[in-house]
Amino acid sequence: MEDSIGGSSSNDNNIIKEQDRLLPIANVGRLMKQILPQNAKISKEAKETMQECVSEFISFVTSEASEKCRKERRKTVNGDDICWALATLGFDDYAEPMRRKSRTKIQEASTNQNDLC
Amino acid sequence: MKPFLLSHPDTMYNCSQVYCSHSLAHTSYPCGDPYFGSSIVAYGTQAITQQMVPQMLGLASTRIALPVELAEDGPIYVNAKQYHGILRRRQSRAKLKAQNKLIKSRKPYLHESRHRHALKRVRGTGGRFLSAKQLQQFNAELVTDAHSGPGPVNVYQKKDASEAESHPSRTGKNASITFTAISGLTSMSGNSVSFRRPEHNFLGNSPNIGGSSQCSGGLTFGGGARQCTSVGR
Repeated sequence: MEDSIGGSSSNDNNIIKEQDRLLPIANVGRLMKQILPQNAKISKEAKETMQECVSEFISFVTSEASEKCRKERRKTVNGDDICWALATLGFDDYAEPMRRKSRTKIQEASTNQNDLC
Repeated sequence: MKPFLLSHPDTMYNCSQVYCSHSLAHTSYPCGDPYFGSSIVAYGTQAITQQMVPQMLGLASTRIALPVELAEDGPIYVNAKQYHGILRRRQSRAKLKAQNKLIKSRKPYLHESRHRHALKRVRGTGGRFLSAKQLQQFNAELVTDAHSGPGPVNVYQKKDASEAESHPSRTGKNASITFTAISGLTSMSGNSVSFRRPEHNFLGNSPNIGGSSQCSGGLTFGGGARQCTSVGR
């Protein structure tokens, strides 16, 4: 996991670290900038709001997939479970392209991951 | 108390059943339901109400609302498919809040040592950090006569130059400090190109160091901003 690579943190053990609960705000801002024109600016508040939204969305979809795995007595949540969870939650327009291009997107995600590091 | 910004009610299909959950009827958590899908045709003669709900991308479409429970300030309408997921997420967040594990406020930086390191770095004209060609992640040796801009030696650096031109004063010093911490988390390899590229996106001209900023706003259903009054279990 990307967020768990960081060095020692001054947070105490009871509080969930910000880098464990939220996506990195720089990456969120970079993704938001891809869809905007060249001279557009994004405020910090907008990035933080989007950071909260996308992090909660990830938890929302993942909990649905995890519930399915729990019922089927499986321990590993795979890509098909995520696609199924998207379809179950009503995001059908996303589930079908995800299922169809699952292999390609995994490769693209790996490439993007290398670029970000 | 940190407000949840994910109150985005949305419904599409009509359902003859009305889900009644008394155990969560008194919880004051808003729905954690960001819905990024496109508009779906709403049908059914048993439509309860129709409302115009603006989506995240600014599109407006008519949705059929499905009342699932009563909140303090009126009903919150959600997608029937997402009802159980929303309740599950509410329980998870309430559990974390009961254990007092959610962060109260955003800190301007994650690591004290990196924050101090960023404060010690020399800034040139325009507020940018002065750096040598081979910038090390830690123990960077600063020289005063080094040029602050990257040379267009490859695609990434050329893209950096264009992005730096288009966003000269994008963020302040606070954001640059935040970036310094995040880049330490995300960069494992010693690739100076990937490290140099985001740097120009986030360095700014503002000399102020802001405190921890509260995240506010977001979509609000109904009138006014939603205040989350939580009662610990």
